[in-house]
Amino acid sequence: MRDHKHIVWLNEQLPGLVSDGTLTSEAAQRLRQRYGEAEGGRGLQAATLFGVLGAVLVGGGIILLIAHNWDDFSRAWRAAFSFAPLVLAQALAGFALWRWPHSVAWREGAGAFLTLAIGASIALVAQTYNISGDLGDFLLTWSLLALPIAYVTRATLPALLYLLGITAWAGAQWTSNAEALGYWGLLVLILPWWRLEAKDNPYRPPPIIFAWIFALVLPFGVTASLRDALDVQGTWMPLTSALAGALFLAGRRFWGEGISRMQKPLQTLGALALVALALVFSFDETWRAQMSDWRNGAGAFKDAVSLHAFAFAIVALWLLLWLALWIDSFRSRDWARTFLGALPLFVALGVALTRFEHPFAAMLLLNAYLFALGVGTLVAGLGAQSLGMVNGGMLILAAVILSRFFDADLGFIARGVAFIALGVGFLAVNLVMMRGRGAARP
Amino acid sequence: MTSKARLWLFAAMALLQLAAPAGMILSRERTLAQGEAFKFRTAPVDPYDAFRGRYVALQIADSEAALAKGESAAYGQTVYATIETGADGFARFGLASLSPPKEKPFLKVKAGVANDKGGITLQLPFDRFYMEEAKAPAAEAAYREHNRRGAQDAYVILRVLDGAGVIENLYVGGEPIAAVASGATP
Repeated sequence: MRDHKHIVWLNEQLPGLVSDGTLTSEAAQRLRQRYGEAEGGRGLQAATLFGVLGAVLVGGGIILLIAHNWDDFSRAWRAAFSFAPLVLAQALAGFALWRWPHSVAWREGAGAFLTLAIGASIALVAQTYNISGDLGDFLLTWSLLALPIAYVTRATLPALLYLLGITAWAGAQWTSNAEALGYWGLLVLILPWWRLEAKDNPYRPPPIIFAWIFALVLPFGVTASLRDALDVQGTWMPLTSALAGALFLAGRRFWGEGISRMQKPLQTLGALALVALALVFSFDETWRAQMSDWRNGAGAFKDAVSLHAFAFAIVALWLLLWLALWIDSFRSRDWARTFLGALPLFVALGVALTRFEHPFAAMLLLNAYLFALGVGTLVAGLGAQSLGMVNGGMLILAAVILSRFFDADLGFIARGVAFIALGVGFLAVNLVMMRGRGAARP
Repeated sequence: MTSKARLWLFAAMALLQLAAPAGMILSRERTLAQGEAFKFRTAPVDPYDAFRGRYVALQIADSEAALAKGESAAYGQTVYATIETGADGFARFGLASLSPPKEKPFLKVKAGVANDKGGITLQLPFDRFYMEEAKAPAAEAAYREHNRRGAQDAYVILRVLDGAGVIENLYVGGEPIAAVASGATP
């Protein structure tokens, strides 16, 4: 969701910047390409939005009409009706592709309608023949039939439905862990679409919306599909931190120039997940809970890996992906990014320490990491005069300090004083920074 | 991608999308037309969970099968269960095995858990019978009335062909449930 105001402003500024020599005309041209022309931008987006909304309403209405279950129609009629919305939607989408192949509004609207029409069609068949109500299978059929729509019409809704559909399907496979692993194969099928949409401009709404949904549903997919591996001797600890780290680092790497929070899906959710995980790992109890499992020894771990080789291969793949992104971040000398993205490294160290019966040292290490992260964010925020970063840093510090207060058996007076001190600290820093900003303004 | 290539791809996709419901319809129609008919008694269902939305929740009363000699089936494994019709005219499952039987009608289903008679329960894919919105509550009441223990005269007719089964109709007290439901509505 690029802010229209900013683009209009940029387009107004560019000629002046070129004439006074601040920018070359090539650079100005590149900026125009990067942020898009402002003309028609808003109208076009509204047309697309209303097109999709209309398609979703009509498609949803058709599904509801079908849900009424028209008993008076014979099976032959009902079979014919199963095809009616589908054929209508196909005709519409085909006509749109033929007549207006470059209209975003038409492609998105027709793609959304066709996606819903497929759902309506197979739902009606399932009703007519009393097909058993396995929601997972229904969603998988629907998702797989919707997937080509995403590629052929380049619409966003079928891609989003596919992501949600395969995740729900993986969740429904609770009786068969081997089948749930198919989630990863299904996930790979939609990634080229993401790449295609993000290639020219990763800040357009389709790849951004996809990124938000992707990062939000990925944890569910991981939990549903990797059940066999997660609980084996604390595999979940490096895996979850590597997942969060990879999302965050990939976000900074590929969406690093996003203007608003909306444009930074992966780094926002990744950073939140990293801090939350670090907090979980800062509790003594988290590490102690792993001790008994680890006493089973390396032999038990090897057995589990050979039994669930594919699940562990996925785990290894995520660890490698994180490592590659982290090395890339290290090379680009972006130290703040590198430090926050380094959580899996500290978790790995903690795991090693716990294996040698030092869970307390692991807990200390993670606390030191969080503390350094909080102070670092605070200092960087003060340097950049960014109120958001300062508050973020203070929140991290407050979370560590308060968590430790609940760990240690301290009295109410000590806790009360700590709460007040932290609160005063927040207020003071915010007040000082607001004043500084006010003074800086003419 | 040129727009012509895109249109061809679109046509291929449209055919695939039409083929999915068509395939579902054809295979069921074939079973209904050519399949052998079996009468299965239905079991009482938990009245609080009996009805969700616009269908009547069903359960086949006899959903257990003996296991073929020397075979075992894990939960969720595909098995082939033979169907036998008893002297009372109602069908029951005979033997479940890992390969499809020859000459006997059978259903291809997923295995449930082991029972205490050395056999297994079957996860039967017949758990709902769809009704029109307005008729469904009356149908549900009728189905429940005819499924009380001691007064069980509800049954489904299942058409079975090549291991696939399709519900043809649900009967309560000897009448199709749709007729009972519309008779009961004022």
